[in-house]
Amino acid sequence: MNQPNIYEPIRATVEEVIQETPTIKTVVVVPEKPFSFLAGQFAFLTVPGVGEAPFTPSSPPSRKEKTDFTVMKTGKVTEAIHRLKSGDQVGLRGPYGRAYPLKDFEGREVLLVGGGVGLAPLRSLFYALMEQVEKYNRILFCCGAKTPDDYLYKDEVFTEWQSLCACQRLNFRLTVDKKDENWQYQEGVVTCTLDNIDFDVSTAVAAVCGPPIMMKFTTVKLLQLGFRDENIYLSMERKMYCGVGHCRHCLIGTRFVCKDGPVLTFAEIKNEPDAWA
Amino acid sequence: MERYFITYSEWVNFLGKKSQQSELMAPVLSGSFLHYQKCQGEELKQVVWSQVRPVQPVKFFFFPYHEEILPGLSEQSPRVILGVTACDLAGLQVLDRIFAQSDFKDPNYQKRRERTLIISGDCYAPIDVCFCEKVGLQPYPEKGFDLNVSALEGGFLLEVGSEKGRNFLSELTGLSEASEEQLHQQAKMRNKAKETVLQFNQPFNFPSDLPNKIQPLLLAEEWKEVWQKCVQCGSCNFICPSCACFFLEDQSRGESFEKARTWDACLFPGYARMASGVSPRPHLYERYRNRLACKYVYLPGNFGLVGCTGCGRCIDGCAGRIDKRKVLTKIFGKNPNSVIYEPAKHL
Repeated sequence: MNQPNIYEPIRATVEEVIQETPTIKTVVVVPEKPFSFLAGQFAFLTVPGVGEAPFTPSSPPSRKEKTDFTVMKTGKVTEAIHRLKSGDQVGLRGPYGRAYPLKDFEGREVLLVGGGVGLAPLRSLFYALMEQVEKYNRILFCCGAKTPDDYLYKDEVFTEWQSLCACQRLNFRLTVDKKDENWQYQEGVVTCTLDNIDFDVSTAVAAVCGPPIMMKFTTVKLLQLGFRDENIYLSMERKMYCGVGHCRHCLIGTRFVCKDGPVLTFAEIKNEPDAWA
Repeated sequence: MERYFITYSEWVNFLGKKSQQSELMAPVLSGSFLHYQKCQGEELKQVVWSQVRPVQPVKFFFFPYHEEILPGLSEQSPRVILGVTACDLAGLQVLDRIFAQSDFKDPNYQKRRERTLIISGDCYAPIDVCFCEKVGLQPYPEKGFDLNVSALEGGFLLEVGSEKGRNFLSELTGLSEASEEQLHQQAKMRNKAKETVLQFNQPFNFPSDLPNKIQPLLLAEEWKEVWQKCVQCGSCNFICPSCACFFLEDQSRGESFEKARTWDACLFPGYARMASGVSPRPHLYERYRNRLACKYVYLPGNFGLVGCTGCGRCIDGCAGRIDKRKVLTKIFGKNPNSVIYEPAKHL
């Protein structure tokens, strides 16, 4: 009779809050009890007295002692998250959902496409891939943001990660919608970076995360390039309350974004009348 | 199946005794409608047997409109619900799949379910909005009950559906097996009820294997017309025996984590709207279609059960007087083969 309540979060302490862009912060939390997740899974971050919201962690899944959540200020809960300071108490509930099938990615070319705050879950996936980089044929990471200032993880994207390219099968293509005088990469929306891709599209996989409109057009582009429906992994965004397939808010057709997602392949959603928000 | 006959006074007296140990909820006439009410002793004489489903579905007992979910309920005292109709049992089965039989168990739902004994009842008097026959159900319970009661002349036919039900009857000594004549009487009443439902539904034309047939029609143009009297009040959601959507709110005080949940309705514009303000179903016709798709396609896909039980409450309760059966007739009026689904359309 005394089963644990599925809604009970793990208590966690905020260790650090990093301002990434004017509207996005990364909150580093240290959970009281062990908390681990796989790349692609998500968790609810609770601010006591305010509410909880679902996020995919942005830290490497192998780092167990603390977890990063990169959060854009858009609503009531995210505003409260932005007000957090180190030492504050929060709650963690999860992990929920299905992880990226990294085993299936082995031996294939992997394309990551991230736009704006969509870079957050891809950072976690990127670290997971890099830990066994020799297993994947090639990795191309395409990132986009509105302006250079809107880039997340600037130290990593522009310095640390670039230095990894020299010795490994890894490449980056960076773009901004509107460049400034110091920008030395591409200009244009993120789909521009997908031109001239020399991947074997019959087997290559793509993981896409960003605002709904970006995901939609990136999918169109990938399909044009010849990517297979089942090889396009989309981080779907839906309103969500329970995370366990009860409240039914996140359904896309018969698929729960919380249980079957949050990453669904294009093949899984393409026949649903309201797949795109 | 064990079937017994019991006289009216024996049964009511027995329930009167039981009402001292358990909370008994039963359909009672209030105004011109049946409502579940708590009954004790003499009040049990007011219980209406083998009539149409009460106004509120049994979902209200297991999944209340608003409740605290964290911390969950403490231990619950036993409760007996009488006169649950087949349509409501079917709705309860859907809730069981969602809350008690999926990977995650809902703490409150399970506790309420475990403490409850379900005594179902035949429905001899379907009303004009009933359409159980059209969704593959009958106006009498076939499974999912602990005991079933069918009113007969001078008494009741009791059917045992579970161990829990058998135990409930254990204090009744000398129960007589139902006779052929009594079984025949029950069958006669049941057939009559079936015929009544069929008669009420003659004007409507849609296939009974809705899940397979309606999916290719989800992009039919007709959806843009059928919703037009909908005022998005959500009454069809709330009164539905299988609608179980809810939202959660934090209500912690100090440092503790406390949560409450409240029913939500997929017809509300804010239901699926995300923090960014974007919604996958910004138009009312999309939300209306989603509600029906959920009943006939998504719930069967998720849990193997059709969500619609044909109870007709959504027709009764609709402020815009939308009759779902007319909607389905209109949607199926089109030749299914003429709708060609092209994913590229909405890309």
